[in-house]
Amino acid sequence: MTIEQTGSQIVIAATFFLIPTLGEMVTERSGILNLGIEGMVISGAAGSFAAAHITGNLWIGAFVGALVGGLLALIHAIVTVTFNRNQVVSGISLTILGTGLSSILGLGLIGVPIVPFGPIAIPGLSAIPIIGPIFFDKNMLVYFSYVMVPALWFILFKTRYGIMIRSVGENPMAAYTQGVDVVRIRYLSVIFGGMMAGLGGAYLTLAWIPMWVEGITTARGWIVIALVVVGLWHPVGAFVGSYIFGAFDVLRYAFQPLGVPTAFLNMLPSISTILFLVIWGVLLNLQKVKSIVGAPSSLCVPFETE
Amino acid sequence: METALEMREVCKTFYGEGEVEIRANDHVNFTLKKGEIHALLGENGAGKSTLVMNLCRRPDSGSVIIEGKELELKTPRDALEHGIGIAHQDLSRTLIERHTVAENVLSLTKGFLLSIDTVEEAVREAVQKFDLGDIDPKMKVWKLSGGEKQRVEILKALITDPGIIILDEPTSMLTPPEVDDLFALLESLKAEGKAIVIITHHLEEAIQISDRITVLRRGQVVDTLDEGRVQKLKSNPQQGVRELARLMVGKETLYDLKRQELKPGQIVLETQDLCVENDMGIQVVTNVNLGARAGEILGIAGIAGNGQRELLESIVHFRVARTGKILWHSDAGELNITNMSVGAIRDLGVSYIPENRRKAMVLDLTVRENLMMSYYSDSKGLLIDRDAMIQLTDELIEQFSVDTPSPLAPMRSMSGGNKQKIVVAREISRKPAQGSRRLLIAENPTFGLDVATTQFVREELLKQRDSGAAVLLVSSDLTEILTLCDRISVIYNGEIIGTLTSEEATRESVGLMMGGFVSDSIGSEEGN
Repeated sequence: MTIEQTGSQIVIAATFFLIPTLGEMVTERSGILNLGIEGMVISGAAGSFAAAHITGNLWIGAFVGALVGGLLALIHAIVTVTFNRNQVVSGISLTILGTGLSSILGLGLIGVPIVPFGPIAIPGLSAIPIIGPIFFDKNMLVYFSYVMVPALWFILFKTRYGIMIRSVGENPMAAYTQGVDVVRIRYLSVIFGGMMAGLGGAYLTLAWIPMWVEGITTARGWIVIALVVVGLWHPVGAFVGSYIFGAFDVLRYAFQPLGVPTAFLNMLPSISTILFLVIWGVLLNLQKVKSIVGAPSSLCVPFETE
Repeated sequence: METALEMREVCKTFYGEGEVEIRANDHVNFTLKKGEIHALLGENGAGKSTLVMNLCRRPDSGSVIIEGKELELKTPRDALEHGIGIAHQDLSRTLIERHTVAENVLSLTKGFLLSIDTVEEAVREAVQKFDLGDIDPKMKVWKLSGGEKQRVEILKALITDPGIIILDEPTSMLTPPEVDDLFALLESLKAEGKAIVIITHHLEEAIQISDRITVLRRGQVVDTLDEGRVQKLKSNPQQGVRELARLMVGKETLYDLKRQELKPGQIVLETQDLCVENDMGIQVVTNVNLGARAGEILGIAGIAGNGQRELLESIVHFRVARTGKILWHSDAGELNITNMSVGAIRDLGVSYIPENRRKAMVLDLTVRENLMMSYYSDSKGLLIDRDAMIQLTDELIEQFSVDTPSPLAPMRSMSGGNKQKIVVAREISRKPAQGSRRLLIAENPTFGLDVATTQFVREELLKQRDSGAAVLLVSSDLTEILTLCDRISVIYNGEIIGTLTSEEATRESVGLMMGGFVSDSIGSEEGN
C-alpha cells in the first residue's frame, strides 16, 4: 500500500470515531454520561440505510440516522435529567434497545446494495502532494467532521452558549443561581450527542461500508466513550484521539502477513483503549493537573435545586 | 423612604432524616427600604439564608412583595429579572473553579453566540466602577485567593445593576482592608438608592455598616432594630455587640447534663504543626497543634467550612496530611500514626462519628450488619461467627435502646435518631487495642436530631469521657460545645485562634472568636 492509500484509510476509519466522539464530548461537558452511544450508532446506521434505500436520497438517509440517534438520546435525557435516574443504567439499557432497534430497521436489507457518498475533491487543496489525496479527496461527511472540530471548539470556548454548557457540567448550581436553565441545556446537549452518534452510524453504512449487516459496528461505539476521556473533553483532543484509533484500526492489518494471529490483532483497539485510560487516569489524578483538565466536575452527579 | 421589598408571614419547612421537621422560616415578616443597608443576624441555622432564598424559590406560604406588587419568584432567573442580585455564601456551590472570572459571569446578556470578549470587557468595567480591586477577568478562579473569590461573587451580584442587593456572608474571607473597601462600596450604592441586605455573623460589622438590623432565632424574627436603636448601638459598639449577641442566642437554658469534675489524664492524641489540603489542593488547615487528653472532651468550635472537616479526616486518614505529625500515646509509648491506614488507626482505638451519617452506614444492609461493620476484621478464618454476631448485636440494640422491629430490618427504614444511635453504638462498643485508650471523634453528632436523641448522644459522649476516653468534639452548635466541653479550641480559617477552658468560655466570647475576633482578654494562644 502506498502512503496515500494507508493515510486515506486512516481518515475514513477515524471519521467514524470522530463524529460520535464530538457529540458525546458535548454531552459529557454538560454533566451527563451517555453510555448508550453504541446503541445510537448502530440504530442510526440501520435507520439511515433503510431511509436511503427507500427514498434513494443519501441526505435524507443521513438525516434519518441523526433523527434516530437523537430520539434515543431524548429517552436518556428524560430518564437522567428530568427524573434524575442513574445515568449508567439508562445508557446501557439504551445500547441494548438500540441494538434491537437496528435489527428491526434493517429487516430485509441485508445484502441490499446502495450507492454511497462519493469523494468530492476540493479544488486546490486536493492537489497538494500526499496531504491532498489523504484529506481533501473525501466524501461530504468527512468534510463535515473536519468543520465540526473548530466549530465546536469555538462554540464551547468562545460563546455564551458554550460557557453555559461547560458551567452546567462543572457546577450546575452556580449556573442555576445565575438564571441558566440547567434542564434545557442538558436536554439539548444530550440530544445533540445522540444525533452525532446517529450520524456516525449513517457515515458507516452510507459512506464507509455501503451495506447493512447486523452488528456492523462490531461494538466500536464503545470506544467513543473512551475517546472522550483520551481527548480530554476537548474537540481537538477528540480529533487527535479519533485519528490515533483510526490508525490502530487500519494498521492492525499490516501485522497480519507477519504471522500475528487475527484474533490478537482484533484485540488491539481494546487493549490500547485500556492502556490509554490507565495512563490518563494516573496523570489526571495529579492534584495540579486536576484543577486544569479532567472530567467535568459534575459528570454523573444528578442536579436537584433543593 | 420607599419600600423596595417586603416579605409577609413567610414560612419554609425542610424535612430532615426521619420525621424531623425543621422550620427554617416560621411566619417571618421583613421589610427592606430603598437606600438602606439592612443587616440580618442570627446563629447557624437561624434561617437567614433561607429567608433570602425565598426570593428565588417559592416559600411554603406567605407573600413576597416587590415595588408594591405581589410576585411569585420561582427561579433565580425570575429574581434576576426583577432586579435582585444575590451574592451567595457557599462559594463552592456558586463559583466554577476551572473557569475564568469572566466565564463565571453568566447572568449578563442574552443571545446565542455572544463572544466571551464582551463579557470580559464588561467585567473589567464593573471592577473599575465598583472599585473591587485587582480582578483579572481572564484569571482562572481556582488560582484566586479566598478574598478574591469572594469579590468575584460580589461582582456577580452587582454586574446586572440590581435595585435590591443581597450579600450572604460577604466578609467571611475578606481581609480587614478589603472589608473597609466593601463597606465604602456599599455606602456609595446606598447613596444611589439601592436597597441592600447583608447577612453576617460579625456583630461589629453589622453595627458599623447597617441602618437597621433584624435578628432571627430558630426561624423566627426576634427583633427588628430601627434606625434610632442602631444609632444608639453605633455610639457604644462594645455594649452593642453584647446586646446583639444576647438577642441572637436568647436565654436558652443549657441542657441539664451532669458533668462531674475530672482530672484530665495523659495525652492520647497529639497533632504537631498539622497542615491539610482540601480537594482542590488548597491548604485549609494550617499548623494545628492539638492534644486530646484522656477523661476530657476537647471541643473544636467554628463556623462550618473553616477546615474542621479536613482536620478530622486527616486524623482518621481519610485524607492525607500535607505536613506535620499526628502522634498516638499509649502504654506502649509514642507512635507516629500520620498516614497509617484507616484500619490500623481504628484498631488502636480511634472511633469516628462523621457529620454526614451516610458516611457511617450502608443504607441497604440490615441493622445487624451495620452494627458489625467495624468487627469484620476481628473474625478469624473465612466464615462469620454467627452466634457471636447475633449475641453482640442483640446486646448493643438492647444497651443503646435502638428502636427497631428486628435486627434484620434494613438501615434505610430507621428514623434519623435511630440511625445515629446505631452509629454511636458501633463506634463506642469496639475495644481499643491493648494498653491503648479510646479516642472518640464526633463531628456535629446531634445535627438534625430530635431533643431526646440529642440528649442521648450527649450523655454517651460524657460517659465516654468519664470512663477515661479522650473525646474530640467538632460542632458548630455553641450550646453543645458549652455544655459538654472541658476545653474549647476555636478554629478560624484553618487555624486554632485560641483555646479556652470551660470556666473561661462564655457564649459571647466563643461566638466572637468563631467570627475571627480575638481580644486579648479572651484568647490564650496555648494550643494544648
